[in-house]
Order: sequence, then structure tokens, then C-alpha cells
Amino acid sequence: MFVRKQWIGFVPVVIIFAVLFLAPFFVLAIGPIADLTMSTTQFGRDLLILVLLAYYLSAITFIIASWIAYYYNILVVSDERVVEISQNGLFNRSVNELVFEQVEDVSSIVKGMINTIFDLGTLDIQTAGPQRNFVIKDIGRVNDIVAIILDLSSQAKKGIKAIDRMPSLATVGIIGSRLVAKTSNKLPIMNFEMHLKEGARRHSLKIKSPKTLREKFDYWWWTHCNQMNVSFGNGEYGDETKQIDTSVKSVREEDSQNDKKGEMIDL
Amino acid sequence: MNRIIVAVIFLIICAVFLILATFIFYHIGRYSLIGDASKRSYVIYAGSMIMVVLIAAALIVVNHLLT
Repeated sequence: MFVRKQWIGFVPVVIIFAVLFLAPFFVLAIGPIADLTMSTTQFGRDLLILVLLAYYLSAITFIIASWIAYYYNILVVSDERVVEISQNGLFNRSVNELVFEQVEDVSSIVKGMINTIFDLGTLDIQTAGPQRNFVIKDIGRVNDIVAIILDLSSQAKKGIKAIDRMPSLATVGIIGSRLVAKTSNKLPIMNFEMHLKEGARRHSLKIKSPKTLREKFDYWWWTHCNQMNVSFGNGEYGDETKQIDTSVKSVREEDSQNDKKGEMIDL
Repeated sequence: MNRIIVAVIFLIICAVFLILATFIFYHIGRYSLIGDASKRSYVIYAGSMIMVVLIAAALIVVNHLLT
């Protein structure tokens, strides 16, 4: 499951940008200021142009920085864990992980008319032990997400291995804000941890420029796990990669076959 | 003298925002491996910045030619 914040959360930023964009037109059209700009010297007019230049560049940068802060907030739920990637502004990024065994309780809060209409809510995952709770705001399909996490968590606590875990609900995953039904051909998303090892393999085979979306996802995940020093199963990536003797070509062929089958996930 | 001051301020503004744009480019290049929307939006961002800079430069030149 791969979820971003709902687009509705970005609407206020767009409105602010529209106001910022139009504001100089209104300010300069006001009588006294318009007269001042017309009667000023050449140097004064040049300075006015420079101020407007800096102003518009700042406004454009503001919207891209806000967009990055919105777009890079991601929740990933695999068959092993929940990963929350949180981006606050350009310089503040955090990645938090929680394995299902540590999930104590999951709840959703949907407040207000707009949230109800757009199916938005706050996801609150209570954890066992010293790890901090996960609180993710303005997330779509929050009730479905809660149901899936609770289901996977209870399976984990029963001792079911990650690879065998699958939600017993009609909805087994969410990609973006779309539900993935049990009958969908996009089921592998729930088992993507299995694919991560393949991602490591590809990376170890020096595929430096991921082309397909699968490769991109694996590469991104590999980078993330490498930063977090995460290991899978019994061995580190190194052990995994040593056992596999597959050429780059065959991996790429496998990828393109998966694409043709429709197993590729449109993230 | 005034022309030099205008040119220097213009270049300083461009340099500051160029550094910022480079940092954002680095950021997107590092974290945008899921989907391509971030790269597309960066192209729009850089494109609008260039357009604004060109419009400002053109206005300054026109201002000097008319006076």
C-alpha cells in the first residue's frame, strides 16, 4: 500500500500562490502608487522591476517548496512494516518505520464537513515500547488503511510469516487514493518486500539508471534501506546478492515481462 | 553608475535563486524515484523562473531605450 496526502490538502497553497501572483497588479493599479511609478526616475523604475523580479521568483519558489513538502509525505504499508516518510519544508525530512509486531492500536479520526466529503482523516498508530506513535494527517481512505493495518498486525501477532500475510478484506491495498481489490492483478504490492531483495540484486548488478517504475521503486527503497541500515530476513543485502547469479539482461527482461502482464504499479 | 548598480542587483537576485533552484534540483533528484511528477514540476518551476528573469531583463532594457 502506497499512500500520499490527498490533493485537497494542497489547495490552500494554490490559493495563496494565486493571491501572491495577482497582488502586485492590484497594488500597482492603486492611484497614488501608479502615479508614483509613472513619475519616478529611470533608476526608480529599474529598482521597481528588480523588486518585482525578486518577489515573483520568491512566489514561484514558495509554491515548489510547498509542493515538495506535500508530495514527499508518503505512507508505505508492506506485508512487513509501516513506513512513514515525512517532509516538512525543504530541509526537514524524516523516515520512520514500524514493524507490525509493534503495532498496539490503530485509529482514524475524520473531523469536519470537508474531511467527510473528501474522505480525509488522521491516522494514529499506537506503538508498543519506547517508539513514538505514528500520526499522519490529511490522509485519504483512512478507514480502509486502518482496517488493512489492523488485519496485517493481527496476522503478524499470530506468527504468520510476512510473505504469507495478505489482508482478508475485500480491499487489500491502496495506491495513491485508489483502492486495490482482491481480484486485481496489482496484488504484488502487498508482497513488495520480497521484491526489495530483487531491488538490491539489481542495484548490486550496477543498474545505475532505473528505467521502469518497478526499478525506480526498488532503487528508491534500496536507497532508503541503505540509509536506515535495514536488513531483511536472515541476511543482509550482501548475503542475498551473493547467492544470486543472474545477469542484468535477464533482470531487465523479467521487468519488461512484468510490465506487459500489467503487474506494474502505477504510483 | 546607476546602470551598474541595477546590473549588480539583477545578477545577485539571479544568483541567489539559481542556488536555491540547484538545491531543489538536488533534492528532487535524490528523492523523486517514485513516479516522475516531481521532475515534471521542477521543469515547470525552472521554466517559470527563466521566463520571469527574461521578462524583467527585457523590461529593464526597454526602460533604458525609452528614456
